[in-house]
Amino acid sequence: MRNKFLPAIGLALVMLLVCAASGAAQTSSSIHLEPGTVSIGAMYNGAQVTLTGTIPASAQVLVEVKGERDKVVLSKKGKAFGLLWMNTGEVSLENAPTVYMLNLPEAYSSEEDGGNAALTSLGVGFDKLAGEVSIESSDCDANNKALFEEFVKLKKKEGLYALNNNAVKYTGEKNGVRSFSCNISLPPRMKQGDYVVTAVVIKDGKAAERDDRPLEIKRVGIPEFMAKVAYEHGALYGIIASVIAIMAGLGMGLIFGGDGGSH
Amino acid sequence: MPHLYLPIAGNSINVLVIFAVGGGVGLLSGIFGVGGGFLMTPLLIMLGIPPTVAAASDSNQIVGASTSGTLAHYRLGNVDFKMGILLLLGGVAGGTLGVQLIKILRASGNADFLINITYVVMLGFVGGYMFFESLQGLRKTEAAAAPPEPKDNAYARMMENLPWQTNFEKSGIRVSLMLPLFLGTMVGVLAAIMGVGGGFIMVPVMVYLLRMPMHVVVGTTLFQILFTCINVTIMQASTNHTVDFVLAVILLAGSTIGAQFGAKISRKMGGDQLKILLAVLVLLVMFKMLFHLLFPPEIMLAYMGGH
Repeated sequence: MRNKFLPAIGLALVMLLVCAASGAAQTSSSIHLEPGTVSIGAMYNGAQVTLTGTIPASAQVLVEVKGERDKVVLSKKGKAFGLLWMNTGEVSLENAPTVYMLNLPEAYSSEEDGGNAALTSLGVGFDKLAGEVSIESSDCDANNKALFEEFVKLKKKEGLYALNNNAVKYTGEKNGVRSFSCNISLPPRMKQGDYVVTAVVIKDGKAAERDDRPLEIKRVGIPEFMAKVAYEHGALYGIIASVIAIMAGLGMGLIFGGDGGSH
Repeated sequence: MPHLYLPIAGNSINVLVIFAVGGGVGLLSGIFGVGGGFLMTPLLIMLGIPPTVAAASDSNQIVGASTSGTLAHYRLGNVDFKMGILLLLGGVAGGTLGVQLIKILRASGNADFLINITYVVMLGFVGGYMFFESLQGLRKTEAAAAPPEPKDNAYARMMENLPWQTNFEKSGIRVSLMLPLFLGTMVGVLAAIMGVGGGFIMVPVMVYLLRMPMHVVVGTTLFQILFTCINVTIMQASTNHTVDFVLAVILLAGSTIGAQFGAKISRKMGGDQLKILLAVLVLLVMFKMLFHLLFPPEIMLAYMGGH
């Protein structure tokens, strides 16, 4: 009787082990963001955070950084009277993230900067983003695709939208699992707010898993105090700023006894 | 490199670069007596400061700069308070009128066209007039025998016929009270449309239309600009939250020191040489604007508040 059941129990154990092993490979994402909170102090000039983790050896990983979605109203350049280039209308973009950075491993890096079909099929990149943003223009015949491309150019110039090639590095491989790390440079223009860093794990050319980590950027110390006064007590801030400027001007005037500055 | 984070501008800046910008603009201002605002704001925008914050913080630094300037000129007896107050009253009325005008034009979609055209025409007119006028001045000096100016022209006759003629002792002129009020209003309208303090329009207006002596013009403009910029600083801080005080203080430190060297250079140059150099500077800014108007921009979208 005992002998009769032994092979069955053994088989069940083997199957369980196989399942556990494949399961481990599937839910691969042990990711870690360091640091998860960035403080903007008086001498802040941008920061660097690092996302590390492990994925199956055969998989790839892309790292996406996204800001809160917002509405932004921009002025649109056009030709007035067919001659002069100036602001000729307004464009409002709804649901566009304040920040969008996509960090790519070597396998997905290309010379071509911008959205491409491979990235779109993985649910990332600027083309994918374009589909999520609604654009309204004061011109009826405006080309929304072209407008979004111009918006991306504007944000790229500020460093708030970026597509970084060769930015994900694979470091070691062991037992069918490999480690990755991605250094993310946060430009000083990234404002106080909540951001999300996502590891998109690619298996067999498909996005198999997305794992998020929150990233918080917050003002502390002097910048926080000044912003608080400026936004909550605007008139008082203006008066203090004027009084201090007058005192500084009088002080400079007394030191130099001179002709003052620019006006 | 020492960096500071500007909480209102929402960006970090290199302290030395901002100090140098302040110093450079201060140097030019010290040489010419005018011309900070219309150079400083575009330079700050180039360094990554949002346009609205650049303009408002520049007004804040001008408060400090014009305080020390007014103090120096007051000591020398170069401030015509009566004239300054009349121009200021006109300026406030004109500024209010200009802001309303811009609101109406924005609603109809023509504001930017008007702003750009006003800039180019005013810069071109002021720069061009000063250039040719000082060129004539230089030629006259060379010829050493300048013909007397025809004093009895139509403009002078019209001025004499206006009511409420008043003596302005400091400026040594007698004109109608209406004239500075009217001219102040006009400059106020233009300044509000262009979003600048109006110093570079006010100086030629005082020299050519009010016929005030140059040294009193500089002192009186500074006095008037001080109040205009206090008003702008408080208004911008309370309604738009765009004044970055840290930025203003660094600029002020730079511009005050720059202005000292500028003033020394200025003393070594003749009046007409100064005017012709200022005219060239104004014309260069005008050509730069014209270039941007005539050639397609790199990016077809822009943040609001810039030109």
